[in-house]
Amino acid sequence: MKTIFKISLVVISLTTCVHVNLKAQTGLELMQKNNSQISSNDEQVDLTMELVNSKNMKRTRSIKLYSITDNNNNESTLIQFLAPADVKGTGFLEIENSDREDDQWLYLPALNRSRRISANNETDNFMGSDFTYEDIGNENLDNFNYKKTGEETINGVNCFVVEATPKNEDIQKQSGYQKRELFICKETYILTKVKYYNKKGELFKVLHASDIKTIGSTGKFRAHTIVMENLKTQHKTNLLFSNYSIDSGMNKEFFSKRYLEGGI
Amino acid sequence: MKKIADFITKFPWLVIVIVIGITVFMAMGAQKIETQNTHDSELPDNDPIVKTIEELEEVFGDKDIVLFAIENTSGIYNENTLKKIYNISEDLKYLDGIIADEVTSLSTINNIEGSDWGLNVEPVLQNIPKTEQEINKIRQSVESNRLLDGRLVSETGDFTVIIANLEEHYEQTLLAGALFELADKYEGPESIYLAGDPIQQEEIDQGIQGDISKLMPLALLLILIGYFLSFRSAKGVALPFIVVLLSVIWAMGTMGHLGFKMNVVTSAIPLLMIAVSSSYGIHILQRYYDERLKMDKSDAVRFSFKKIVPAIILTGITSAIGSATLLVFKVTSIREFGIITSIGIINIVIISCTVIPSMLMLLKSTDKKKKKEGVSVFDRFLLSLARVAINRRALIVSASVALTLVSIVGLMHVRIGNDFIEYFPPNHRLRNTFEKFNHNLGGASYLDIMIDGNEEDAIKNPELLQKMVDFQAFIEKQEGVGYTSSFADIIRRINKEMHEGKANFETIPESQDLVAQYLLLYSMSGDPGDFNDLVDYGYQRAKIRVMLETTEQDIHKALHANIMEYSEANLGNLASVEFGGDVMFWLAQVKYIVSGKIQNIVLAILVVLLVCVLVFRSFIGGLLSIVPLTISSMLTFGLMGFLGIRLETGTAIITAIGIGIGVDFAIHFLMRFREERSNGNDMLKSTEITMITSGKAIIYDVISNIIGFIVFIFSGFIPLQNFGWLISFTMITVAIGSLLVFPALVSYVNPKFMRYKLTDTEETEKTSTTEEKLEPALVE
Repeated sequence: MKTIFKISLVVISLTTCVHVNLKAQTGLELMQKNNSQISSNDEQVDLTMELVNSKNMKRTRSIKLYSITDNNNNESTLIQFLAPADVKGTGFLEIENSDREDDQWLYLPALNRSRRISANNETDNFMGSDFTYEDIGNENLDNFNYKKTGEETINGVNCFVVEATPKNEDIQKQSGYQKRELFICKETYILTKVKYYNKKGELFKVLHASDIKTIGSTGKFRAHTIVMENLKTQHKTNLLFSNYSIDSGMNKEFFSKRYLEGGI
Repeated sequence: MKKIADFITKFPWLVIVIVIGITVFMAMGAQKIETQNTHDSELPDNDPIVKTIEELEEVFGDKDIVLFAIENTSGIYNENTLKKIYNISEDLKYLDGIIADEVTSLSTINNIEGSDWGLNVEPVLQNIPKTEQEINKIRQSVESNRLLDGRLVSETGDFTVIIANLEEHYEQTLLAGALFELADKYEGPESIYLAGDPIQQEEIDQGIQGDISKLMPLALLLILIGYFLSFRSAKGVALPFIVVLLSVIWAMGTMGHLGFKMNVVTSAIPLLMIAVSSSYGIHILQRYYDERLKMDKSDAVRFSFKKIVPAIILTGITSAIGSATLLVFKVTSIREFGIITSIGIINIVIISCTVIPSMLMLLKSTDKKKKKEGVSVFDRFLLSLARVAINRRALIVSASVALTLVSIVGLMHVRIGNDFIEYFPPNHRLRNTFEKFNHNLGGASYLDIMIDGNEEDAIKNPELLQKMVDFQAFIEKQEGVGYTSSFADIIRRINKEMHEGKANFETIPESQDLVAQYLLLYSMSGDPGDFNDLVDYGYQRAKIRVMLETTEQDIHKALHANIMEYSEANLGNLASVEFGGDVMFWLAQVKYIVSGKIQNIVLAILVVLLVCVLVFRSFIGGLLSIVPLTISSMLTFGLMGFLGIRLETGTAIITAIGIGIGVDFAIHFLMRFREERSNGNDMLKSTEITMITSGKAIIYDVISNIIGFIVFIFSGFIPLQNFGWLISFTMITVAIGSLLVFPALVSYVNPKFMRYKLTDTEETEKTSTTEEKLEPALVE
């Protein structure tokens, strides 16, 4: 699994921000800019996930997220649940492999054992939220056509609008979307909004990212509030991030069954 | 009356223009009629069952669904059929109105399966299988998962269903059309069966449309033939026919303007209007022809109007009151039926009393016809009937008593209530589909039980979950139950699979934390909507769905009672229990049908008694009047009991309509009888005269009514077919009762009011005007 906190945001150093290339850029170039800013060696963050249904009832979970990227650009992720109390201590570990399916383990403290679980589909939802694994994963730029379709101002932020469509039928089959409209901040290349169109071509999900701040002295930006709303079901997921830490030099050892069961 | 008659004869054009104006207004109203989409508003809002049904819908959502079933008699576990299941599931996601994320099938539902390797969470039919081995693997996965086996796939392995949830506002006709198209595309060698809200509603709509487009022309044709045989002239056919047409338009217009929706019960209104209105025009026209022999056109119109209209009004009012007694029902469709029918009958009176006289004024007068003289075969039959009534009075009275007693036996056996599916005739495709579901997947209708733990997370409590497991085991042992499903099943399944699929772990775990962690595990790749229909968002309330293999309402009732008893004894203070589901709606309706029916009959008979007491100025006269009506109603119920016809919305309206029409017979017959008696005729002579005058009119009325009513037996809905048979039967028994029982009883009782000598001139006038209607309706 790819780290969740990279979904919508691009990290870009303040220096590059100042020297924005004002030359006309293609959709793909914009996405490359976006993508190249995401990379980091490791990250950790506290995340509160609020699931809100159409009757405005809430389910809230708090987790601690850790991720590390190795030299082959494979990412490992560890999630530890902090709240609610009945799932405290539950852990989830995913290790990305280049040559085979990713490995996933789940640790249930009440059972005092961890179990391997099968890999997810791109279109599966992540933890019962409105985000699918496709939404939170790193984007493979080879799979989609990107077309810059215009510019728009979102909450006072000037953005490029890029339309992403699957390159071929196989990718279309795996993807949950016929089309996405990505709103990329002109200055930071951060995604501030995404409109998702289902296979019938109907707009059915909208993502808003806000509260964008730099993280420590890394000069990297992260959105601290991300809201995904499903227009069809009126279900909503709020992601609230805090205590970001990037490139703090995490140990690869942490991403193992031992730490999954014992905690970091 | 005279003033109105003068007005009509002076300004016939104006009357016609006004009538046309109203008709245009009514036609506009008729355009507004919509078909009723749900039975939501059928019962009173404050009904306790309705309240809990609504509460359940509020908690667990009230999404309409589509059921798309695939049957392959040689088994679904082959590449082609599995491929179809996969492709149909995908195709359904693209249909407008279907929530793409909420399609449940072998290719979409997450199957949790534990193995040595670990835990597999993915659909059974993740990809279309290519090898025998892969196919066998799928079969094993289904057969070892009790959440799938016998629920999503039949235990025989030759029937499976795809369930799709629908968006709140979908285009029913478009969606149903798209589904039927999809079914055609994938049909063969597999059979496809469609069910679910849009399909069922579409079948009802098509049934109603079919009825109207098929039965209306048939009824109108029969009426036309009847008119032709009676009058053998263009005018004689056209004028009463115009009354019939306008009556239908006005009734439908009233319905549209009042905002009433069309449903199976109210769809009977146009045909009912044809049946009832068919006799009204005849009476006026008949009287006119009689008078025309003696005077010129204008005088004949004016005179016949004065003479006949009071009788028409009396007849109309009594029939309208009969229908209005349906208002005591608390079932909306029956009330609305009562309202529209009452107004419709008043409309008929207005139309026939204005249109026919004005048209007669405007049209060229035809040659005066001479009445045929002499005694016809029919008259001879009626005279012998009169003699039988008097000479065999003991036999008639005792036969009536005997028949009534027999009917009471039948009455005891009348079964009450109905299920939606029983609206359709046997072999209807929807009924076949329901039978397929009953046979293969444990049922197509359901009862819902809401377990309310009274606080958040209560449903995660292992103690309560175990109670639910026991509760379900109890319910599954009851008659008529296919299977039950609940949140507890899911927890047991996960527990088992977390223990390598060992059967002895298919239990509720002891720790509440573990339950919570299982849920988290499931949600790792779950939709936000998972379990929405099994547990509420705060884990306070859970639902047990009980699938029923039978539509037999008596079994539903017994089941409901057993479940109530069990839950009170066993769930204690841990949780409270409430009921919902479509079956509960029908159970609630039964209560109102029974209480409404009893009140309705009592009220109708009391009203008739009151009207007849007023008309005859005699209590005995009133009592006499209700005898044939009461016997006839008993006979109808007795017949229903013996034939197994159920008392439900369709058949509940019969008594009111039957009594409303039947009371006219009583009034006419007894009035004429009294007239003849007071003229000094003896019992037999009076009976004979009454028989060939008002007796003959009653027979003609019954025939013209039955011509209209009998068309109902060709309806696409069983309740309306039953209505057609039973109302025709009622008309015949009321008529026989009036013709035979009245003279027999009167000759026994010889009541005082029958001996009353008329002296007051006004009284004479009144009696004779009413009597005018009693003239034989048909000339030849």
